[in-house]
Amino acid sequence: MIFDDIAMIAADTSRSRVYIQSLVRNNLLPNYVLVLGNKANTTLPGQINNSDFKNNNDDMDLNLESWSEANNNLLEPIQMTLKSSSIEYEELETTNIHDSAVLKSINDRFESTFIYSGYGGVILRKELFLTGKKFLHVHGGYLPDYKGSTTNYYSLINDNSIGASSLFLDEKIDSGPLLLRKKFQPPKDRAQIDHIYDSAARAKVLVETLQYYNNAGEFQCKGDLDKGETYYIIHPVLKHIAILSNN
Amino acid sequence: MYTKFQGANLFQSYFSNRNNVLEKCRVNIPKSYYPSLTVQRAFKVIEEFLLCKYPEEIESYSSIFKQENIKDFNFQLNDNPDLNKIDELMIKFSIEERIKTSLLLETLFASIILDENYINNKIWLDRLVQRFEVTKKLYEEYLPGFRKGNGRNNLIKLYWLFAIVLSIFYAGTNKIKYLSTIIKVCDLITSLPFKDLSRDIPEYGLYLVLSTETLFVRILLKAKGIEYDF
Repeated sequence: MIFDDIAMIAADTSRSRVYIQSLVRNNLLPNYVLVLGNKANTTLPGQINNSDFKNNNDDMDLNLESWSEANNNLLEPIQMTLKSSSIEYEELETTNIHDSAVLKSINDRFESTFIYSGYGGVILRKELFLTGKKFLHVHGGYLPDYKGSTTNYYSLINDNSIGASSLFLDEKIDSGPLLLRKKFQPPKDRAQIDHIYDSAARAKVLVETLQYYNNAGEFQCKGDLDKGETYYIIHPVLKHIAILSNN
Repeated sequence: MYTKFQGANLFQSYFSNRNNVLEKCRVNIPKSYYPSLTVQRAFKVIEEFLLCKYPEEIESYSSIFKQENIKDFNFQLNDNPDLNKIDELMIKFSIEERIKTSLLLETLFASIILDENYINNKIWLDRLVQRFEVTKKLYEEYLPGFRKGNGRNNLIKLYWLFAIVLSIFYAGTNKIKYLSTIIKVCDLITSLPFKDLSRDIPEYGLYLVLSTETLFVRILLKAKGIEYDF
């Protein structure tokens, strides 16, 4: 089904590829997608270096229900998935969510909610919220306990789990309101968390959030996320401990 | 987030870097020197936390200093009259006012020694962590609002004191986010010329910070079942 009132902003990242492939697989299609293209030769946060990456869809974890959104072709460009699924899209040659052309495209659309999957490390500014749209984001971490960056590596160390939480964005970091949150058992191959399992956990929560929306006819918020701990990019030594840990 | 996975080799590089600086410390500190009072206090408090949580690591930790250099450690922390005024000093810091970073860190140091769970300690430490994580710098002072730094940002002693405060807080709370910041601060410190470190950090201060940091990492490696032999 196509959601008339839902659009999407998609950076050309592995996460966006996972989101769109998952939405297509679950027949939960946005009405329109605004693709933010990176035409530079450099790889931005969240982007796959195609020459370094190989899809490994033989992983046993892919048979688990919790990882139902992990089996994707991360080398397939977003545009290809959108075209083959007949989803309307527009591509802008900017990576900047606050670019005036991006703001104009968002303003010109009638959909009231945009699924947000932009480039990493960006805090959304006031001008985006002045468009009057709601931005549905899925955070890689269990909110409000784990706000901020790389939180799934922290939660792996703390309690051997990873999480994902859907929320509507505001000008603060991961402060809500919260829609849905889930915890996941870590995958066996933790070295694949960045591109595969973090994205798959978020996609699972996105799919379920949209399924609830479809059933209820509205997004059901579960309160604000004022409390909680904010984390910063984990040091590589600790990231490696999280990956190599067996408990 | 997307640091390429390097396997256990990353630990080897990390320990090798720290061991190189620690070896320079061992060679360069005159045997007649005693640790400064700040270093002694930090050592003692961390030792007490370790004794409670990881008694098996005490032998390794206590060997950081030679016996002849620890005679000044036998003091009662709470007997220091200055420390009884720390609460009052902490309360006086206001986000609406200009804040001298060295004063904040010195007060935090004393306050965390008294009570690592005191809420004001975490609030102010989190503000410093946020500023450091975002800018990778600590400024001599922060303007009202505690966003914009002012003055020098290359005062080695500030980074060292920040590492000490974080180490005590982490030893008391085991909150991994602070260990992450400790390692980043130590990365920054160890990237500087050793002669500058020797000039600006009190005797044994660098030795204590790096020994403590590497011990924290070893304890975590062990707790998470990761074998290492470096």
